[in-house]
Amino acid sequence: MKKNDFLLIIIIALISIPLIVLFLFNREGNYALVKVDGVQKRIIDLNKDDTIRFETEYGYNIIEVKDGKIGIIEADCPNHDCINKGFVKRNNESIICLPHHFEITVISDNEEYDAFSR
Amino acid sequence: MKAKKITFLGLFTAVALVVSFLETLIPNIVPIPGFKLGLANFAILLVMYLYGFKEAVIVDFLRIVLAAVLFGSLFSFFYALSGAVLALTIEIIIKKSNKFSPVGVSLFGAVFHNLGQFILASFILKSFGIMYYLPLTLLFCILTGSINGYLVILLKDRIKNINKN
Repeated sequence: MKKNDFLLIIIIALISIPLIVLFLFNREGNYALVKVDGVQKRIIDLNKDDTIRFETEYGYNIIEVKDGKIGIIEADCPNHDCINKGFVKRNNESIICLPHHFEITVISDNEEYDAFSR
Repeated sequence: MKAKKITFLGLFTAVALVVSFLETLIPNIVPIPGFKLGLANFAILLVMYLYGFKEAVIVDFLRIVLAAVLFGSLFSFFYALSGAVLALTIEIIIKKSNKFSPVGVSLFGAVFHNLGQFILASFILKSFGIMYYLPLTLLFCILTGSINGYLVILLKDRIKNINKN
């Protein structure tokens, strides 16, 4: 190994670790935004337990909201990465089902997002 | 191409393919869609060091096509290809610069492989939300990139000796 290899490892670590630590301090969100093809489809309240079936031209995903967390429990995508991701609750955390162009992102506040997007 | 070279390239393709398959069997340790350890890359890098850039591109392309046909989909084909194109390009540039050992080349490959996939995913989703997971992915690149690079250092001279006999 050369000196440059170690330098490269240090640079990658210096870029990624502070951001990871920063994200750990993200607060728990109250809403989740569902987007398909980047278009906002629905805002889900994380404080109400619910099971929602979401059907698009690409296929279906069944979303479950439980104890302030959101996750996908069933889908007809080929890889099931979205289900394996488990449940999320922190701001900016997301669940992605790439074959379905489907994205759920946790946000802190309904209105805050509206103001932000305008 | 000599028969021996063809045999060895076929062997490396098979090794890369088997490693790719084994990776699909282990549960995803990183909760990121499509994240793979990318351990098949050591076989691609070995080909790059033992034979050259053209051969490495051929073996990697064969691996991706065969993986998609045997245990993937059209979707996984394009997803893997987007990462491989960027990774191979940067690996060739970095190796030519002679400033890094195989570990550095492999690290660059791992980082750019994931960047390629994140960019494609952002295009598909028309959203940059997935970038939230980029730092964690980069950190794992240190692990997988180093393992691949170190395997190349360990193996390349030994295999070179087999080739001469």
